[in-house]
Amino acid sequence: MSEATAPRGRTRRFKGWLLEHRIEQVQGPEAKEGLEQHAWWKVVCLTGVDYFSTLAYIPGIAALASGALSPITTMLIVLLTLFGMLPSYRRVAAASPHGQGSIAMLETLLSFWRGKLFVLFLLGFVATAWLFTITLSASSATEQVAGNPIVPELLREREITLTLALVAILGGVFLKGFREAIGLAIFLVRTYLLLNLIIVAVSIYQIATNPAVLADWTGSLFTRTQAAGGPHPQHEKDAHRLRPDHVLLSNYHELRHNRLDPPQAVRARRRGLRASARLSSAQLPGQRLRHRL
Amino acid sequence: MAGLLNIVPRYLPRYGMAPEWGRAVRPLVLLYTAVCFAIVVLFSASTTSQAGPYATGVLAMMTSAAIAVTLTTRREGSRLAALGFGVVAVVASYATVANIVEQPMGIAIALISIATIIVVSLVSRVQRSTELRQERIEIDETAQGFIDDARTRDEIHVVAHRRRPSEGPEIYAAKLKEQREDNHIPPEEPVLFLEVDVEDASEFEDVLEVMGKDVGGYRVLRAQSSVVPNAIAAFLLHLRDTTGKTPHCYFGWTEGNPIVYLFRYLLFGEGDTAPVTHEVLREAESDPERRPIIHVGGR
Repeated sequence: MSEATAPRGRTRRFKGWLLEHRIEQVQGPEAKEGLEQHAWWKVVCLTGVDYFSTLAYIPGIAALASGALSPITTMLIVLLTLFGMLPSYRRVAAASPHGQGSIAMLETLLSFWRGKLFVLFLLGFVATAWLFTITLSASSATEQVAGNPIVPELLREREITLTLALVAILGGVFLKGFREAIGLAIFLVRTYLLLNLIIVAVSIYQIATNPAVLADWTGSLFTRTQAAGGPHPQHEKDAHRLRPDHVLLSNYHELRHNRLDPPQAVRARRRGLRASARLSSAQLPGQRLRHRL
Repeated sequence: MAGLLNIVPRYLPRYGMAPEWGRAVRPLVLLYTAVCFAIVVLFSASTTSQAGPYATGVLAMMTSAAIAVTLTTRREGSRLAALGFGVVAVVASYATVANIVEQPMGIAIALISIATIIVVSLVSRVQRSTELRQERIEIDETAQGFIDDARTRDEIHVVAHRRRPSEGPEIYAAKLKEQREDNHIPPEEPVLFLEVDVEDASEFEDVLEVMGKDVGGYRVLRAQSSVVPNAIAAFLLHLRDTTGKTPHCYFGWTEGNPIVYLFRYLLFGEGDTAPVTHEVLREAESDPERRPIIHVGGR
C-alpha cells in the first residue's frame, strides 16, 4: 500500500515543484504583481548579463571587421547605443512596465488573426535572438577555454561537451529560481565591471607611459585609410602594415586564431554537410568590410 | 534566458497557443535548455556559424522596438521625437537588411524558428479551442432578474438564438414557435433567449458580459464573446451553479457542411454550435449527470 503511494506522492511533489513559479498575465490595475519583486538594479544586472555579452563581443568583432579602425567603430556603436537604442528602450519600458516589451506596442496595430500572426512572427525573432545568445555565449566561453594553454588537453578537446555543460549550468540556475539567478548575475556583473575597470586603467597607464603607442595607432589609421585594397600578404608593404595591430591588440593572436580555426573545424566535423560551406562563408563580411574601408 | 522566460508566457498562453504549463517557469527552462542543446550540437559549438542567426535576431528585435517607439511617439503627437526615433528605426532597419544580405544563414534560421512557433501555436490553439474559455461571467441587473424568475421552476429553458439585424418581437415569436414544435418544449414553460455575438474570434480568454433585454415580452439575454459555443457552455454552467436547477438549452440544426463549419468555428468562433457546445460541456464537467442538457431539433 505505502509502496504504491510513495512514487505517486513523489510524482505529485515533482509536478508541484515543476509548476511552482508562474509568469502571470497582468490583467488590469486591480491585479496584483507577481509575488517575487526585486530592486530595479538587481533586475538590470540579470537582464544586463545578456547585453554585457554583446558589449564584450563588440571590440573583438570590430577589430576583425575594421582592424585599426576598431576603436572608432566601437565608439560609433557606443554612441548609437546611448543616443539611439537607450532612448528607444526607455520608451518601451515606460509603455510596458510588466515586461511585455515592444511587441505589445505593435500588437494593437493589426487586429484579428493578422495581429496574432504578427506577434508570433516577432516572437520567432525574439526566440532566435535569445536562444542564440545563450548558445553563442556558451560556445564563445568554450573557445576561450579551448584556447587556454593552462587548461588540461582533455578538457580542451571536448568543445561540444563543454558547451553543453555550460548551457546545462545556466538551465540549472534558472531551475532553482529567479532569486538564485539574480544573485549569480549580480556577482557576475560586479566581476565584469571590475575586470573592465582594470583593463581600462592598465590601458590608460600603458598609453601614458608609452605615448608612441597612440602615435603608432594614428599612423596606422592614416595609412590604412589610404590603402583602398586592404592588406594582402603577398605584398611586402601590407604584411608590414599588419604590425601595428600586433602592438595594439594584445589578444590579436587569439582573434586571429578564432577567425581561422572554427570554419575548418566545422568543416572537418561536419563533412558532407553542404551547409558547412555556407557557414564558412559567413566569415567573409568582415573581410569584405575591411576591403571597402 | 531571463528575457525568454518573461516574454513568451505573456503572449502564447493568453492566445491559447501554448499549454497551460507554458505559464510555469521551470518547464520552460527545461524546454529552452533542450533547444539550446540541440543548437549547440547542430552548430558544433562554433561561434562563427552561430553569429549570423544571433545578429539577425538581435537586429530584428531592435528594429521592431525602434519602429514601435516611432509609431507610438507619432501617435502621441510629438513630431520631433518621432523624427529622432524614426532615424534610429532607419539605421536599425538598414543594419538588419545589410545583415540579412551578408549572412543569409541567419534569416533562414530565424524563419525556421518562426515557422516552428506558428505551427506549434496553431496546433495548440486548435487542441485547446473546446476548453471553457470564459474567465468570469458578469450579469447585469435585468438579466439577473430574468434568471431569478426562471429559477422558481424545476428546469430552466434556454433557446440559443442567432441575433438578427432587425429586432422585433415577431422574430422571437417565430423562433419560439419553431423551437416548441421541433424540440418539444412544454407550452407552459417560459423560455429565455440567449444570443451571443462574436467580437474578435482570435482572442482566447475573455470575460462574458450578459445583458438582459425585454423585447415585446420575450426575455432576451445578450452577450459578446470571441467564441459562441464556449460562451453558451460557460453561461449554462453558471446557470446550473447559481440556481441549482438543470438548464436545458435548445438549438436548431445549422444549414451547412459540418466539416466546413468545424473550420469556421476554429477561425471565426461560430459554426455548428450545438455539437461544439456539448463537447465543451463534456470536457468541463466529467459527471454526465451534472451536465446541462443540450437539445437539437429541426429539419
